[in-house]
Amino acid sequence: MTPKKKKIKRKQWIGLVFIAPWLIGLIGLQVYPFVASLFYSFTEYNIMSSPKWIGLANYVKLFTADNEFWYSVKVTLIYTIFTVPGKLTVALIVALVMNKNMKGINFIRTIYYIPSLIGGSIGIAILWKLMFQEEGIINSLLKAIHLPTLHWLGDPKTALPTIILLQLWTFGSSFVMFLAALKNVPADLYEAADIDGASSWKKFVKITLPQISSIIFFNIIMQTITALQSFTSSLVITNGGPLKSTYVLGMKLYTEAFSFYKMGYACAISWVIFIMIMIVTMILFRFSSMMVYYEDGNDF
Amino acid sequence: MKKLKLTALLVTMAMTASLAGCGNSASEETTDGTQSSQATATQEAAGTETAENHDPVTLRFMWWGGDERAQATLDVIDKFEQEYPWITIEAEYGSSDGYQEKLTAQLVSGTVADIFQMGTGWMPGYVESNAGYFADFKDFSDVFDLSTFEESILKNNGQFDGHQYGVPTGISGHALIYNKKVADEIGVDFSSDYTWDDIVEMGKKVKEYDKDMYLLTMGSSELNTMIVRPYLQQLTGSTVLVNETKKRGFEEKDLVEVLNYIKALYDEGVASPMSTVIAYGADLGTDPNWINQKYVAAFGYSSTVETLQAACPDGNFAAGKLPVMTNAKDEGWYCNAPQYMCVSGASEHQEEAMMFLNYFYNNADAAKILKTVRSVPPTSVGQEACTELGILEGIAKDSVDIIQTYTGTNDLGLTTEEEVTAILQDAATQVAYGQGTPEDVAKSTISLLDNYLSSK
Repeated sequence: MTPKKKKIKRKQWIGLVFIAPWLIGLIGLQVYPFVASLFYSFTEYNIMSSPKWIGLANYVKLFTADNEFWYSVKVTLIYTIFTVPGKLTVALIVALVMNKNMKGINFIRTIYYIPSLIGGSIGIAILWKLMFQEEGIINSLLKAIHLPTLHWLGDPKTALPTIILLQLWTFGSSFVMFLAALKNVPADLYEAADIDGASSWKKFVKITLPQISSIIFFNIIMQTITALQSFTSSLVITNGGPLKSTYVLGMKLYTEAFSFYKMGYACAISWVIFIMIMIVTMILFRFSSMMVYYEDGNDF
Repeated sequence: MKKLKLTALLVTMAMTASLAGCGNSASEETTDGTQSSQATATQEAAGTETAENHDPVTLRFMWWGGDERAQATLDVIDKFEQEYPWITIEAEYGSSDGYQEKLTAQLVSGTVADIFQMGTGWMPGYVESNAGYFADFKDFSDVFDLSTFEESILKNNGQFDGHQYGVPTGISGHALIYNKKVADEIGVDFSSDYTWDDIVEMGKKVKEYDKDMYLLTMGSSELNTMIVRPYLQQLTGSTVLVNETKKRGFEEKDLVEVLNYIKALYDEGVASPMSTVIAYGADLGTDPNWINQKYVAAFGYSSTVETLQAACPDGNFAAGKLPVMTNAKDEGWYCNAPQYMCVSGASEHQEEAMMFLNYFYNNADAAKILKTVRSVPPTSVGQEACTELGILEGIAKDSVDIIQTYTGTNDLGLTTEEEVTAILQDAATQVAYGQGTPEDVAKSTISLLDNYLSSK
């Protein structure tokens, strides 16, 4: 081995030491649980006694005997179908407005990002709960303008929409990405369109949307994954109720694991969610050529 | 571009991986979250004759609870160590968060404390998986005096097949709190015996008096604990699920009857609408309608009635009796305990552990320190001490006095398992919301329960 090679080896080793904290975290908190949960999903395991191998029984039960599971799938899909387009539309609209050059725009942009900094957290969920309570600010406002009040979180019909509404409000991360993408759209395209006398709407549809389509696609994927895993707001705001109207898959998984101590079953659910997300993502990728405009003609 | 897609796919995998691991995390937690503090060793202050006759013994004592309970318990430990200088007690205490997970891990691995506080709902499960986890108090009658407890309280709390594996830390139970002044005005009465049907009649009276008022308020959890379970038990004479046979104690028609009763409560406007109440969860006292005296009575527990009373300072509250149907085969209501105290079956110093608990329960000085930090004391010694201090009065004590007059069978066990609780509560809530007929709900509920029982 030449001295130079040795030096490189050493350098690599030092590099590994530097990333060790992350690497240990990845292996201990992600890779190991990932693999172990696959094993446990084939067992009956209640923590008290050692896991008992039962083969595919958990999966069979999940798909054939557990109505609640299919119900949760339905709730989760409804939640996803409404939150993802809704959130992205709001994010895009705000990004378009914020893309103007006016005085104090950076300050305004920061303000609009704040909900996302604190959003998705327990704190915001509790705030939402307080706002939509029977005597909360929303009902008080409705009363003040003589409109009928609603049992927002107490009525099975309105609980899920209320939680979806919370998600629409925390659009920050998508908004920042849209804003960056909008800034990257070459100005000469708009100039050329102006010369041709294109309307604002035409410019938006023919120039802006195609130019930012890759970011739209990326946002759709990321938001879909997040939505399918949703859990916090259902737990904190309604605890899955009323009448399980907000019982998303994350809630089902949590309840089976930490209320009923059916760890094996819960692991099976988590793997089904994982596979479901993979399938949805793959379907989205399949349609990516339709959705995304690449200047290179999508050849590479 | 392909590369970008691949990266996105990998990101996808990494993100979902974290979720897939989610269900597993608890199994790896063997953390010891509670504070472990050595109670001040007072052995050096010993020097008495007794100390010389004994080898030093160190015991571990584990409990959960707030600061007030912790301080009182530590003070009792100090006093005990002064009187028994050869025994040192190490206190391990913290909040109830994660206590059960820790206890489970310790019981399974044989590292549990010599003395430990136990949740009433968990105990049947532990005894079923291994009764050897626990020492029998009856084997130590020379050092632990059980005679200061009421026989019926011991029988219903911590006794399994005649073995006293745990002793109750206090007396508590289901309760009804009502606004006496308003009730008198309307002409409804909870102070003498009444039936479930009487509740509906009283509810109608309240509606006639003021259409915005309701006789009764309760959350979805009380629908199960205060109606479904006691009603079924009174109807059939059996607990909802029978621990010994692992079978249902009722028929479909019985469940239909209960659910029809619940339907009537909501259809007739006897109980406050679920869509209003559910937002307040377990804190019925935070409901503005309660504070504004729009409800006459509330179902709760002896441990929560004081909170309900405090939430409405304008009210004039009293503890009421509980509903029992005519010709009930079992009264359905029984006296409960907030927790138990247990001695580990794996402990090498069971006798000393029993000596400590005897001091804890049956010493007047200890009782005066502990007061009601674990509810109304279960022993005559403890109750006398608290009466002497003048702290045994008020609505909590009144509701404990009332619940003690009932002799229903304790249904702890299968019926109180988390999963069964969820099934029964869902059924009752569904009917309360007016979704599904009692017949349909009863059918699906029974299939869920039978499914659960078949896995036992």
